[in-house]
Amino acid sequence: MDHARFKSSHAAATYVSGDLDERTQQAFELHLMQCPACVEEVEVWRAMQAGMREHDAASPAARPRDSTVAFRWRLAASLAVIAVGSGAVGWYGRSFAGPGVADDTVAVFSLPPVTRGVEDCVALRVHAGTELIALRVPNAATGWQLELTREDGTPVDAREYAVRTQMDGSWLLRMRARSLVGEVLRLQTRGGDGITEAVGCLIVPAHARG
Amino acid sequence: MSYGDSAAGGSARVTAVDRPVEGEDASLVAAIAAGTEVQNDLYLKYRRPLMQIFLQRRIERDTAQDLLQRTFLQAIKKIRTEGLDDPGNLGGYLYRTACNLAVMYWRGELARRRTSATEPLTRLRDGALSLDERIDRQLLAECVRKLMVELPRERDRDVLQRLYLDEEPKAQVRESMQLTDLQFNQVLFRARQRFGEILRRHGFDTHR
Repeated sequence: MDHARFKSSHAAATYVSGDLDERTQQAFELHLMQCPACVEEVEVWRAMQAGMREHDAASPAARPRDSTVAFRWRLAASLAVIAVGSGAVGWYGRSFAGPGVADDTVAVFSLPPVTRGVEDCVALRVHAGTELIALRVPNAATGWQLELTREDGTPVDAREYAVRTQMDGSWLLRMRARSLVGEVLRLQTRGGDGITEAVGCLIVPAHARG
Repeated sequence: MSYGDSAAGGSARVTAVDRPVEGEDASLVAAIAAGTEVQNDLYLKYRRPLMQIFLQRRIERDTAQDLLQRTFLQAIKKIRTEGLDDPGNLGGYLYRTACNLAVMYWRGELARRRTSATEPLTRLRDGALSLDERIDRQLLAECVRKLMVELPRERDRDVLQRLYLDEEPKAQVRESMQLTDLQFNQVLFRARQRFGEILRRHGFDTHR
């Protein structure tokens, strides 16, 4: 695809929103290496996104962190090129170190919010060899922690998962896949005052693992 | 070693990068190989696109700067020891190196080796810095606030918010708002145009 087509298709805007398919993204990124104009275009959209997050964080009244927001999730099981590192720093309150991972043993998901009720469990479909599931959960609020519980509300063992907050305002949750197969898992956030808030439901289907 | 076999030991597939201005990359590679002090030229040309490659992979900016350094150092070392099979495609080599480093970072293979030293941004020429590295975060938020005020339609604001804040897929936003492709692109066009004007009013020129 040439510059004119990238330009006319608003590839820069779509790239930043994460909506380019893998092949187009690669082509666009290769194009970026030689196209300062497109880099600048990407930077403007990236700045707009960063500014929106900054603005949103600075004016909580405009988008209250209430059930309307927190309960709206979707699974975009797009295997973006993210995974987790067992040596990464900043993981809170969890002892799970994660296995040594290779490409084919890690399944990576992004869980942006959309119109999905908290009772609608979304399936994280992984193959039989998957050892680690990494899940990006957006809208990490300052002072809140993300927790994983079983269907009956009992906490998932701290050795089975770990969470860290990221600079882009999201959580990165990593879970040991094998021990969670077939389980209905609830995501909830916990504020500093101990108040919890349900934010979503996940399941790792057993049949998908062969 | 072939071009496709090098860089960070990963297995990313390589396709030809858009060909640069003829000889530009080759000259840069020759200068690096000769030991000329051209690091700034290398940074100037490739730092900004590479930064976007890392940011797109959800790598935080501080870490991305570390990975940028690794990318450049790896390229310089490769050029000075083995050389590149296709010196005219330095951009492709850097791209693939960056992709592989990003994967290695997320696997945790780089975490323990992570250096505490971050890129000396003050030494970089302004042209090597990305837009949001040049803009104060509060100013950026202010620009977005103005954008939201100035956008003529509530629909436009909703589209931007759902795409870039809530991170909903484009197709879903488009369908739920019953927008055609053309209408959707017009929303993006208007937002981009307006945001560019606001940035320019604050002294940041973003050509279209």
